[in-house]
This record gives sequence, structure tokens and C-alpha cells, in this order.
Amino acid sequence: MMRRKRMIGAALSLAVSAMSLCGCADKTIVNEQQKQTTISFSWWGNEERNEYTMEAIDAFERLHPEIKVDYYFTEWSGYQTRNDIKMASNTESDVMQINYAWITQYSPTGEGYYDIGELAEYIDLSNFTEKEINYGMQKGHLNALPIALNTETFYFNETLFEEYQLSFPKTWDDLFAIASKIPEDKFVLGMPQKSVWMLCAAYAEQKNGKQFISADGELKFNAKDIEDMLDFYCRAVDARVMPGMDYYEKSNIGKGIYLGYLAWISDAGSYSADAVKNGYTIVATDYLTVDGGALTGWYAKPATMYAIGKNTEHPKEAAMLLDFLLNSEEMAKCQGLEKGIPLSTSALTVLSEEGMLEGIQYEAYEKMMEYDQEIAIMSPYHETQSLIDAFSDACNAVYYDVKTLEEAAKELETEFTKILRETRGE
Amino acid sequence: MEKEKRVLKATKSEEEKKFGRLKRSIIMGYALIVMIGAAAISFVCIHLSQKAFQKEVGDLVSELSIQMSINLDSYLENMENFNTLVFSEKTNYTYDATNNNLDEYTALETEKAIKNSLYSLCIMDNYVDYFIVYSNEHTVGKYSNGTRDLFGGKIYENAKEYASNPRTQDGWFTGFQGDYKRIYYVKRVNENALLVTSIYTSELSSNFEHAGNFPEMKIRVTDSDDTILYSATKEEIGTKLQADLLTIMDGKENANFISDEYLIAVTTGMNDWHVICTLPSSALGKEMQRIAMATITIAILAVVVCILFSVLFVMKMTNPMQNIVEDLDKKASIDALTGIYNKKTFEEKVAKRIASLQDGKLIFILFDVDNFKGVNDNLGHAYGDKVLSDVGKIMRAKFREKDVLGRLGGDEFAVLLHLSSFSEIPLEEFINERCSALCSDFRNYYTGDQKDYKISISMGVSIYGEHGADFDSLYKSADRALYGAKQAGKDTYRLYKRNDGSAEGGAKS
Repeated sequence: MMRRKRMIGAALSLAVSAMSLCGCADKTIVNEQQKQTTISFSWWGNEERNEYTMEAIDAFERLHPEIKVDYYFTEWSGYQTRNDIKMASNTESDVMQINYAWITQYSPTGEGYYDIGELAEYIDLSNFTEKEINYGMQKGHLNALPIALNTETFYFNETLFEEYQLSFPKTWDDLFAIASKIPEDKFVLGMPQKSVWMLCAAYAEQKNGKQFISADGELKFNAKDIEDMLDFYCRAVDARVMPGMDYYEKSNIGKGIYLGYLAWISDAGSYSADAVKNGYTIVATDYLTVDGGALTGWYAKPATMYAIGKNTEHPKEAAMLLDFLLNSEEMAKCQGLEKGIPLSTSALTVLSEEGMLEGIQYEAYEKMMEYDQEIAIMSPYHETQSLIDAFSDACNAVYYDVKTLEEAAKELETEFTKILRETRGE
Repeated sequence: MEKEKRVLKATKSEEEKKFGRLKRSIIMGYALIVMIGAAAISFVCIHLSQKAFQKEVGDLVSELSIQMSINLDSYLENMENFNTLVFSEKTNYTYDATNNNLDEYTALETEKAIKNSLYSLCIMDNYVDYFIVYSNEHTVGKYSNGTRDLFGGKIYENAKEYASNPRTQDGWFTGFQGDYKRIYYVKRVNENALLVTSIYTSELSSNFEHAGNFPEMKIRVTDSDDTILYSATKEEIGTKLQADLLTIMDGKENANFISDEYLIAVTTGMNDWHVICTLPSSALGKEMQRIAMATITIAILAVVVCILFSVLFVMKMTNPMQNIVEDLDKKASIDALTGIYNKKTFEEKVAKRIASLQDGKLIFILFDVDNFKGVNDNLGHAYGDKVLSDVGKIMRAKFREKDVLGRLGGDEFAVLLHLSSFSEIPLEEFINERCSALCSDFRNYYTGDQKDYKISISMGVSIYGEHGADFDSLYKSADRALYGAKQAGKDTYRLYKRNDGSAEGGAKS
């Protein structure tokens, strides 16, 4: 009897062992899904920037498979409107490419963006000098970090200048002189709307010897000064110094229809790419001045910055991405000089070691550094898009005789004052 | 009693060996059958369960492919719906840039308004292009350099044919001049204008996110020509789907396939685009291995259990049988009265000892009870049997375990002794000592109610090799010597002497 019991016991324990071995016992099978922290990132830019940034995001996700980056991009036009909507609705991205001007605009108290200083353990701030970090400081809060220093610089098609036996312009008058010597189907300069704005403002600042907009966002120009801006635009379009803002086509640089262009250092490479492809030599040249006048009206600014949304639910991951975008070898290689010469020393070291510190952007950077003492830091309000749009409308109205110069300038003075007051949050 | 057991034990070991061999054979045979059976069942089970597992995974992949196709269609439909918002502003679809009747400023302002309208519509999404192109190739809106370069500034001319849906006058395309970087949607706005929007192909990835439990799974979108429009592996985009997959799919548009190499599911959605999910069968290897291991483990345990039960069963069945056989064997070989071998068994044992002799001497002692007839006649057969039984006891007590003892018939007994060549006792001394001791033991033996009847024995001795080479010849020689002992007055022993046919032996004490 005892032996039978022992046998039954042995058989039962064998069966239990078998069941547990093959997992047939009554237990819940759990298969964990791959859980990722999703953060968002937004930027503006051209296709080149879109493509390398997406490539860099892939690299970041490979390095950090626990993080997924959703991204949003568009061209500059429209990006600020989108940013307005996102910021106002508290749905801004975790990491954002922002304009230098936006720090004052969206974060007047310094609390409009996440204080990056609190995330210093994830971001290598030692790559930046105190001065560079200060570009992103607002009321004691580190709101953003700069990618590179930028300025509007002139670039000319040396091949065509040689062909037409011309010298590169040094003064504003030189532009008109050159325009009179080139074929009628060509223009001295081609540039997008914002560069036209910067050009006209620089001209008027030099001519009248006063600053356009102060660092704290106050309009320093009067109607007469604004008349000079509008007048310069109309004269330049009439004289074929440049096409009307609405007729500008970037591809005309490559085709040799524009003998030169005004562009941010960060854009110089992409603007000249087709021209270089077509056998032209493009060079960075001097800033224009009124004959014998001072080099005023030309400004440097941090060429876009990275900020972290104040509402981010994943500050650590956002900081990791921000660090990657500014300081990593992968991003440095992807980005090259597209945003200008990086301020991050680690990114700069990578570019130097890779032999990537060359080309038109580097040339322009050196030009900027040559005039380092004369080129001032731009007022953050100088690039406010609604000012530019208003100016653009006025230019057309004057050029097509819908309004007189005086009328348009007077209206613009009022409009500029209103916009700046709104931008200052008053 | 101990000696009897020893004799029986010696006899039993042979039988045990036989039975052990039998048991082992039965168990081994049974185990072999169980193992073969278990292996066959395991093979079938593994095969069937793996097939079932593959089918289940195949169904899941199929579900995934359907869901992703729905995602993709939904994504594209949303874009189409979104693009109809262009018609929310009348100017957007009534303006015609080819109409020269408008003055330049009005045209510029109108285009600016259209441009602002388009920008305000597309700012929330990652559009690469979002513009209206007119039949004179004039564009208004967000017109990327990549698209401009791709179409060489002639996008209206090249894209108009894709707005081919007869009702909605729209359509999708990619791969223009081998460029699959962007996917384009075109919709006719008026007879001289097309709305063109584009997204990066990589944007489609949001439709194909999954739990990632099978990292080897590949999700691709192909067009009706089997060109890959989307893949997480960017290098594949724009190339033809690999031939082995096409062979397996055999032109089917909504199906799943389980081959030795792949699990494939294809679902066809909008634009005749196929969402194809492929999973290498090897990706299931780990799971299949687990199934196989579980099945094999169960089979091994089942085999072990079966063998254990078979051992118990065989033991249970064979032990009584072994006892019966051993009992029968004992009865057949042991003389019941004396507890020593009967004549037949004694002869066999002697023959075996002779055959296995390697050294030393074999001594054959034959003896009978003197006056045994008198015991029977005077005391009766019951006393006679008791005397014989006591002879057996005395013999078992007197001789060693290795000595062979037998009753050859009536009162005739025999012993086969072995004297090792290493023994220091001379042969004759050894014989003398043993025979004298035996005679002496019987000399003190009395029987009858009052122990009044004295018993003695007479012995004849022959030596193997000298007096005989087998049982018969040894027996004959010993018998002649026994005769000599009888002639010499009984209660003594005689060693066989070949030369004169007489024997020599010990004297009565």
C-alpha cells in the first residue's frame, strides 16, 4: 500500500515537473511591448536641413532606442505662425529650433522656455563660452543655446564679374553702377524677402546714422528714415539692382541671372550650390557702406538656437536630444556648416578633424570675424516677421503707385510702432 | 541450515542471472519501443505544433498588414481631405495666373493672398511642397527646390496626367525620373491650375509602427509594378521587390503566405499600393525551439515514467515466476531428503568442475552407510530416512562451500573436493585428514529410540587425472576403492590403486 502511494506520488511530481518545464502550468504569459518615450522636435529650414536632420534623428534613435522622436518641420515662412499656435495652445514641441528674437518675444520673464540650466547634467555646457551661453539667457534663466553665429553677407559670382570686367561693390552706389553695366536680363543681387528687409534697413541706418530698432524693441526710425528704406527698394528694383521681392527665385543664382546674393552665412552653401555645379565661382565679399561711412547696419546674431518647451513632460530626454543636436559627432557631421560655423567646441573639433571647415560658409565666417569689432549684435526685434510683411506690402504699394512714398512711410511708422508694442507684450 | 542456504544460493545465482537477463531484455525492449514511440509522437507533435504556430503568427502578420494598409489609406485620405480646404477660399481656385487681364499689382496681391492662404493651411503638417502651379508653370505657394530641380521647372506639364481620377480629378504618384524621395498628390484646381503637395516618403513610417516583438519583420509598400515605395531600409526604396518574395506571392494582392523561408502578408489599398509584411521563418526559430524543447522534455519524462512503470511491472510479474522456477529447479536438482545434489545434478557439477579446473587436484570420495540395510530392517524405513537425512547434514557441516556434495542413490553418497596447487598440505595427507574426520563423525553417530544403533561409513577415493578423466571413470575407480574399504572391515576409506586393482587407505581407529 505504501509502495503504491509512493509510486503515485512519484508519478504526480513527475507530471508537475513536466508541466512546469513546458510552461503548461496555469500562469499568465506576459510579453512586454517595446516601450519608448516619445518626444517631439520641430525646426524650420530648407530641404537640405530637413534631410540631414531626419538622418541625425535616426542616428539619435539608434543610440537611444528607448526614445522616439516625432518631428515637425516647415519652411521659415509659416513656421512662426505655427510656433505662435503651438506656444499659445501649450502644445509646443519638447525641443524646438527657435529664432534669436523669440527669446524676448515668447519668454519676456525668462519662463517662456524650460530653464536649460536645470538640465545641465544632460547637456555639456562646457562646449560654450560664457558669452555664447549669455545669448540664450533671459532674466536669469537659460532659455536656449546657440548653434552658430550668423550675419547677412554678400556673395558674388566671380566668374561673371570677370566676364563683365567688374569689381565687387563696396558702396551702395557701386550696386547701381554695376546694374547699369550688365545685360538687361540680369540683376546685381537676388535675395529673399527677409534679406531685402535687412538690406534696406542697413542702407537707411548708414544713411541716417541711427539704429532702426533698439535692443529693447523700440522703433528708433521716424517716417523719413522709413521713406529711405522704401525709396531704396523701389530704386533698386527699377535699376535692376535686384528683382521685386515677389519675383525672386533662388534658382536664378545658379543660372547666373543674379550676379550675387545677400544671405545668412548659414544659407550661403545651399544658395551657391547650383552656381558652383554650373561652373561658377562664388566668393564672399565686403559689407557695403555709404561711401566713406562707418560699417553700421550690419548685425550678427546667433544663427538659430535650440530651446526646450516649458511644458515638456520629458525634460531629461529632451535635454539628451538637445545635447546630441549641439555637441554630438553624428549631428556635427550631418549638419556640417549648413547652420554656419558651430559654436560648440566639440562640434567644431569634429568638423576640423573631418576637414569640413572650408567652402563659402567658412569664407563668410572669416569675413564676419574680420569685422568682429564693428558688427554689433542684432536687436532681437529686428527680425519680427510682421514688420517684414508690413514692409513688403508697403514696398509693392509704392512701387506700383498704389500709395505715395510719404503716405506709405507714415503708415509704416504707425504699423511698426504698433507691432513692436505688441511684440514687447505691451 | 546455513550451509543449505549456501548451496541453494549457489544454485540460485545462476537462475537469478538468467532471470536478470530476461528482465533486462524485457525492460530494454519495452524501453526501446517506448522511446521509438515517444520519438515518433514527439516528431509529429513538434511538426504539427510548429505548423500551427507558424499559421497563428502568419494570421497575426496578416492582421498587421491589413491594419497598416488601413492606416496608410486613412493617412492618404486625410491628406486628400485636407487638400480640399484649398477650395475654402474662392480666390484660390478661381484665380488664373495665365490670364493677362489683371494688372501686375492686383495679380501680385492676389497671389500673395493665395500664398498666405496656402501657408496657413499647411503649417501644421510636414509638407515639402504645397503650391498651385499654373499651365504657364508659374507657381504660388511652397515650392521646394528639390521638386523644382526634379521637374526642371515643368511640373504642370509633367504632373497634370496624374490628376486622373475622373470625379475628383486628383491622384498620387512618386518615382518621377526614378526619384522616390517624395510622394506627390496633385489635384486640379481649375482648368489651368493644379494643386501640388508632397511629403517625404519617410513620413509614411508613422503608419507602420508596431509593437516590435519581431524586430526582423520588414514592412514595405510597393506599387502595382512591385517597385518599393516605402521601406525602413532606405536603400531599398525605388528598387524592385526581391524575386523570391515575388515568387512566393505569385501575383496575389490580398493574402498571406507561409513558406519555409518567409511568412508574408500582402494587403492592397488605395492607388493599388501593396502593404507587404515579411517575417523570415528563422525569426520564429526561438519560439519553435521552445515548442520542440517542451515537447521533447515531456516525451523524455513520459519515457522515464513508462520505463519506471515497466520496471515495476516486470518485477511484479517475474518475481513470483522466478520463485516458482527456482523452487522447481531446486526440487529437480536437490535431493529432498538430504538437502544435497541428486545424482544427475552432482554429475553435471562434477563435469563442470572438471571442465573449469585450472590448477590443483580434484578428489572424488564415494561412500555408503555400513549396515544401512540393518537400520531399515530393524528400525524401519522412517529411521532409515532419518539416517540418510543426518548423513546429508553431517556432510554439509563437514565440507566447504566450494566442495560438491551429492547423493548418488540409496545410501550411496559422493563428494568432490579441490586441493589447490598452492596448498602446503600434501595430497595424501589431505585425503587422509578429510576421510578420517568424516569416518570419525559417523563413528559417533547413533540412531534408534534409545540411540542404540551405531552407524559407520566406508569410503573409496579416486583422483582426477590419475584415476579417471570424467565422472564415470572417477566413480568406477572410487567404487573399487570403496569395495576395498568394505573388504577391509568397513568404517574406513581406501584410495584407488590402478596397478593391482586394490586400494589403500586408513585403518579403523
